[in-house]
Amino acid sequence: MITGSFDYLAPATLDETVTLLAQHGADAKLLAGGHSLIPAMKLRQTTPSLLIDVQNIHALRGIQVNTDALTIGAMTTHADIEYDDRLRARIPLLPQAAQIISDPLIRNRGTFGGALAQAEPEGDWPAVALALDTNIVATSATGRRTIPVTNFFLDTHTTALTPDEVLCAVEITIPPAHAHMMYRKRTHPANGYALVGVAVVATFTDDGTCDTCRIGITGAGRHPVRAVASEHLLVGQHWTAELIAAAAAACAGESLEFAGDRFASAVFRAHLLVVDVKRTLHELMEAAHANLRHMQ
Amino acid sequence: MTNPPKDIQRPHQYVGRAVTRHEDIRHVIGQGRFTSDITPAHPLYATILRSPHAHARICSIDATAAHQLAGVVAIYTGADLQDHIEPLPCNWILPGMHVPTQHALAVATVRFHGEGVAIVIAESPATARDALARIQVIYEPLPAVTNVVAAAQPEAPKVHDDLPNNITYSFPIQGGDYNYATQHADVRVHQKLINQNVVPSALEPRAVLAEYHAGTGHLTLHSSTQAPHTIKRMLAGVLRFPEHHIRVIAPDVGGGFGAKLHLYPEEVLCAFCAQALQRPIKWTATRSEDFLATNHGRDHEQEVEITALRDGTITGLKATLYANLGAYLSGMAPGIPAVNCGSMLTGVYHIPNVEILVHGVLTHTARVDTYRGAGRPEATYLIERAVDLVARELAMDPADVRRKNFIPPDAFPYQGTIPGPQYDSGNYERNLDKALMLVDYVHLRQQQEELRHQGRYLGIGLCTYTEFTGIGRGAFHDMVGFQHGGWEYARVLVHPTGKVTVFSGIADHGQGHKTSFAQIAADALGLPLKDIDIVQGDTAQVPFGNGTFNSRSMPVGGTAIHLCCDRIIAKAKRIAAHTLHVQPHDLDYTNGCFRVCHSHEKRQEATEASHMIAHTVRNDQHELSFIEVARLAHFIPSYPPDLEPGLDEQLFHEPPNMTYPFGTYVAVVEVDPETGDVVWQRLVAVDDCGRIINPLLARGQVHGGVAQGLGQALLEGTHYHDDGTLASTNWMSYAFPRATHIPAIETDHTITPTPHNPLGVKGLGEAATIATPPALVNAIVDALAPFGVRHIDMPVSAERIWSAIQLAQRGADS
Repeated sequence: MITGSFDYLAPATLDETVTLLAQHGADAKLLAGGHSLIPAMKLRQTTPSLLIDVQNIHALRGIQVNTDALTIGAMTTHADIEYDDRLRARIPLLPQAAQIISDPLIRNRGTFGGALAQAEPEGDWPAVALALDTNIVATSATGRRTIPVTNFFLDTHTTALTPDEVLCAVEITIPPAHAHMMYRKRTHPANGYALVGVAVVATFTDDGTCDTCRIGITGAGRHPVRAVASEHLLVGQHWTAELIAAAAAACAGESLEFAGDRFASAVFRAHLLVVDVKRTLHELMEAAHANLRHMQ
Repeated sequence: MTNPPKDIQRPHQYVGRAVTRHEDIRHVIGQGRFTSDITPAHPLYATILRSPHAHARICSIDATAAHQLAGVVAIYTGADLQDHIEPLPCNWILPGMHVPTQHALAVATVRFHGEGVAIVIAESPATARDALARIQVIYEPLPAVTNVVAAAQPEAPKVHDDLPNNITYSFPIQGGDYNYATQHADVRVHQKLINQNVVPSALEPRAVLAEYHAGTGHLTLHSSTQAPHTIKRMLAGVLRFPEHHIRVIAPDVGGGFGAKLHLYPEEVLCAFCAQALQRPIKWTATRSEDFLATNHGRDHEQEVEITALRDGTITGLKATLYANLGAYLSGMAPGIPAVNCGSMLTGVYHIPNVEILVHGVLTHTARVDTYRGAGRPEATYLIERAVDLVARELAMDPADVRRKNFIPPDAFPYQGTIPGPQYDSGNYERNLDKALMLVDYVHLRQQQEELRHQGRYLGIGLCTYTEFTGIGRGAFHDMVGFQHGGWEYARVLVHPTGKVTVFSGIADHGQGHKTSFAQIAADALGLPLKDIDIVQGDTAQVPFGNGTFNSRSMPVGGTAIHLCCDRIIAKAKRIAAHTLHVQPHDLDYTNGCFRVCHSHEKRQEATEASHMIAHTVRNDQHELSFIEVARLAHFIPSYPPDLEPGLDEQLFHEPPNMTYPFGTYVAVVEVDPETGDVVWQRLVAVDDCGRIINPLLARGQVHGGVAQGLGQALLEGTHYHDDGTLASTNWMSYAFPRATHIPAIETDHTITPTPHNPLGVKGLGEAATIATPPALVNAIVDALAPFGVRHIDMPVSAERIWSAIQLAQRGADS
């Protein structure tokens, strides 16, 4: 397991980094937590001539919580998110998802920004980011731009980032305090990614009507997507078992190209997606009803 | 020194106590010393160019560009070496079987994905790795076959030209009259079973360091192996190198599970290159190489038919086994399916009519040989699934069918219907009862019934197993063509200060022998544990040995140490008796002290000789400590005429027969029929391995074995592309059990000592790997009984469960 030879630089600032990227383009790779890149290099599936290690850029790491939104630096680790009490209070979905990513060793090194930029079709964070109102902040030598997460994942391992851009932060709107949220993951028995992952954030009005609902799904296609058709069925409605069943079934109609493997075929994944969406929505509905009873 | 020194204060007995592992601290603080940790001065590094094809003709190899890379020292191909290196041997050759030739590097034809084609030697590991990409090999791909039954068909691609049908042997085992059984049976149950190909996956991949000393002509090989002495013997043959100039060292070894038991091409190649280039050669497998080129395990397709009477009495068993042995025969490969599996197929049951046929088949896969359990898991899975199918067919409780057919306690030593060694001792029903009580079986069955009414599916699966451990004796080996000793060697050396070094030919690779062997020796010698050190894994320090396999460490290796310690005490007694002017039989030895028995306190007349040792022992002295005797053994001024100085004994212990541990495993699962999810609720493991040396290590063996058994039952299995190349070459594509997959495990024991050794011990290292898969699969199938599901092959994935339910329901609807 020996990589090919490569140059290694560890700039101290974002400016230096984007300059290097502008110079070297696709020959360079950014090194964040390294949990996707290093194994691929050891297997010589990728042989970059330059590694730009961004771990010395302290501005890239950390969680900033404001009144309505929060900003998570790209180099913030899964463990940072898992153990952040402010997140636990404001967006519990994030620490809940963080704690079921792979194992503690990986969570201590793997990064939030790295995982999103990797655009793993079975990754956990993409589904969660899609279920939240998320914007990706990217910087290059020519400037800074914000990409809504719904436009971010284009294909397997392919995002809207250009080769000269650095994903430097993620901005997430904090859902209302009464929002219900959950990430349900069915862990792949070999690689530990999501065989199927469903993240849902929903709000309900005082009479129990669904006000907003965003569903992010992963593991089910070429890249993580929002289940828009399902969301449409659910918003503005009182959720019932029948409605949930219809919404879950609508997921399978998202023209997803299920990528099966010998652990779970495409047909089985399509089935599991419907079951898991249904079960997730049921749990949220029950939580919302419980909340409603509590308020009454 | 008239009283025993205070440091001799010791508990009466160490055997049976949960002594913590002496080895742990070394590994916890990072002071382990594995093969790859050892780097002598001026080393060179080896990499192996491996075939990307499962089967191909090598048209040409051009290493020019690789040679041009700075730092590349040498490159050898199979053609370069075939005149210098003999083919790798197989040590278990069944009567009349065909043995194909395996070169250390492929010559002209590659026969499995990952077979070595060339070896590169370079100044750094990175250069050696870079050079691989610069070697141009032109292959002509040929059709390949990786499925064992497909390989045995007449039209299958041939693995070796000199073996027309890929079948190396067909080994029949018979007893009674199976046809009679079928004619008189009330029920006849048939099932096809797949015991899939799995990758043993030791934490430490294989690694080799070879050093040749030109001045002495000696070769030293460090290797991550379970059997250094076997490697030494075979290296000598393959390299035509004088065996007395070879030293093989297995330093810390990070697991083996049977896959590190046999000679590998890399050991031979590194040793050859060290001699040829006169520089140390290091090689460490990558994880992918471990998947490709380390032996795999299991890989059977089995047809089983079982006949029974309406009351549950099993009357006959017929089994046809197709066992994949891989593209070449590894050390013990042929015997594992034929003998280890074939002779154990009746399990814990008396079955009067048996008809077995085992086909050993070559395919285009990596070699398949011993993997934890080695044949007994394949046998146990077959019989335990079959017994459950009989219970289902007769609508009987699976526990009752087992009970009805158990070999009764008074039948031991038990000679089965089929030829083979006798089972030594057993009390299966007592063991089953204990397991059923622990799991609260009656209540569980009620709970299962209640839950089914609520649409929840609880499954309870049993496995009652036996197996054999400590393979021996020589006559049996000879009968089945096993060219391997069943004996074990021990040497017990007492230093002049009374400290003891024990040398064993068993080779620890994680088992904790430094602890368990020390417990045996400490008890046998009556000494504190801290005074005993165990040396293993170095042919220069331990001249003889057969290594670690077949759970033989305690029953054979431990017994050898025990018996050798007895010799030490016998000699020490003679020294003490001589010194105290009594006869040896006048002395008792307890708690580290030789004392004159009360009835023999009359002392001999003081002689001139005793006068000469008066400075050592007073005339009125009645006892001597072990430490004092150890000192006397080296410094006594006069020895009895037939006694040599020193306190140093060695012996070879040949076991009179194998020992047969047994036990009952009960798995309790709940299955979600909508998703196929299995929630493992309980696993109760009640083993009987006779007397237990160290309950903590015993539990560790069960825990590890359950994890690997679970792996095979639910997760693991190689997968090959249509062209025969291996698709699962790392842990991203091969599901291996992780901590989160493992349930809480409840362990217990019954104790039925073996009559075959003075410790009363049987092996335990493989039991859980043998018993867990059938218990778990039986539990899952039991949970799905209401859907009409009768069988699911391993690995029982969620999708297989879901599909089985869909299929059964479609069958029921139509």
